[in-house]
Amino acid sequence: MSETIQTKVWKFEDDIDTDQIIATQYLVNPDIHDMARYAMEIPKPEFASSVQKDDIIVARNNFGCGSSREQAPQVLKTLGVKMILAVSFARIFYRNCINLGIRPYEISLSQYNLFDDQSKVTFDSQNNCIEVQSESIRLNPFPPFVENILAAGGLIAHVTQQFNTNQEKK
Amino acid sequence: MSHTLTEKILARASGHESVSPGDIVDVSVNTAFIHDVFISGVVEEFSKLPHKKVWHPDNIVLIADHEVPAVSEWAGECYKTMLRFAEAQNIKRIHIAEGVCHQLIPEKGYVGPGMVIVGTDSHTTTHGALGAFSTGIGTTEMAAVLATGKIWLKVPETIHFELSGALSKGVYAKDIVLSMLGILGAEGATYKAIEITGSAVKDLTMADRLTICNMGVEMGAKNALFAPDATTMAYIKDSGASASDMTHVDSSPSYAQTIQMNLSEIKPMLAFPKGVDDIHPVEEAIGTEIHEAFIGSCTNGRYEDFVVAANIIRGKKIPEHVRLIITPASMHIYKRLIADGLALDFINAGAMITNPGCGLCYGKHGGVLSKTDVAIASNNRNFPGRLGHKDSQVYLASPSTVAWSAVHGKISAPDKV
Repeated sequence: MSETIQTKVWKFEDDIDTDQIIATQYLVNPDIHDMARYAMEIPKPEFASSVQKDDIIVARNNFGCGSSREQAPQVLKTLGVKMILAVSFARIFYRNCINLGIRPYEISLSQYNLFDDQSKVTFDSQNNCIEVQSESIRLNPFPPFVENILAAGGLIAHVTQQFNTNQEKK
Repeated sequence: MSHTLTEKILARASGHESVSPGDIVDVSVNTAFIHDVFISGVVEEFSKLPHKKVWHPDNIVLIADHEVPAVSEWAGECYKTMLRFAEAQNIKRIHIAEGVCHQLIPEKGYVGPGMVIVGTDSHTTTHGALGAFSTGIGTTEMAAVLATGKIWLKVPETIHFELSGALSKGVYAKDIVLSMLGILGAEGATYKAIEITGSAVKDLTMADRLTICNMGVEMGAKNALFAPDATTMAYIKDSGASASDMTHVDSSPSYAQTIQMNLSEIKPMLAFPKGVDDIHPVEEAIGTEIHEAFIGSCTNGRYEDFVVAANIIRGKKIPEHVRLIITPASMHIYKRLIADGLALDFINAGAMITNPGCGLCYGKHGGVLSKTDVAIASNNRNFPGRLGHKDSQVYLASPSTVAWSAVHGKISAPDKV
């Protein structure tokens, strides 16, 4: 479990809104895998076909702004993205990530500048660090309440666990 | 220590004496609403939970507004999912094609001062206009709210706008909120609450306050709100909402930031294409040819907005190259437009009136823009592709500025064409 893995960086600028992550016209698609083929169609047309499991998204400010559509983090999760680093996140998108079990980490602008698009970086899961350009970026841990949700695999699993615990107590 | 209105509401709703920014609290919800685009997702997530029944049917509202009338073969299934869920869970507050959620929630009395409101739509910040804590959430989160009646929230810091002075003639609430966006930018209030106070607030109608809070989310805000006052109490007397959750307001709370705005200095403003925070005075775009003009949406589709627009448009002819689209935010408003003759004023000028709904504003139907179209619109967003083709251009403006521009076929102000 505590391995280091090589992952590829997909770098984005400011204000990538949820319409850009997944455009309105694809939301009607009942199959999330099919919908995911159009992720990031406007800002990075090659993203959906090339992104690999565990690749990381690195974005600047206000990532995920716009509508509350949960399909935005959902398509990214479907494509294998488990971690997003951004200088700042839009609030609803940030919450949706946690509730789906994706880890949204805030980084500084100088840390953002260390990343090159399409470059390889090393993620050390034991120390929760990313090695990039001979620097080590320590990702801030989440508050325990949030970590519980992430550890359960998302909010639905977390609420189910709580329900079952309450049933046992009764 | 004095607390902001947001802190007071969250303390009450989480059973704490007081809360401070950064605290994570488990908050009881008064009203949870879901619209047609996300109903299937919410029901699917809810079905994964062991809870068979929702926490309290009377606190849940289901609204079909985005996909009415149906724009795809998918929409009809959404309504059916909504109807089935309402029946199975004994939910009585269901409204299909009666109006946009952010008009129906206040109009039907589902929001009152001090309440906690959550909805599956980012513009849920709107309902802070009535002194509630109101914020948008995702589908998974909504499923958990339906099951438990609660939601985890991190208490936000508050940015304070203190409004003084009075608006000049031809300047409206939309120009106030566009000016706020010009100051804070699209992320200036990320994670934060916006609280609006000051000597000028008493002159703002409930429609004005709804417009301002609606666009709070465009600044990244978690919620935006006005303290309840006589205007609020008069509004809920009509709507039938409860005031029993109202908390009193502390004097001089600790805000993260206070911004003074003198309303007499505000001019008619525009958000230039592809940036809700690319704010300029209307003067800077005078003469730009437009092809579509839109008055409607949860931002500016209220009766008061159409009175302003009709007074400008009445007796004139919209040029052939402009499509003017009027979309009342609810059937109640639509009926008033018909009863008072405003509907006829618009039609005689060459406008199209659509049913209440969200279609145009989210680029789905009823006014989708082409590659070369330029539009001026009273809604809240102009991201690339939001209203149609990714290269189309959308200027956001008040209903007054949209109406003047429609009449002249190019971006205009009352004294400038």
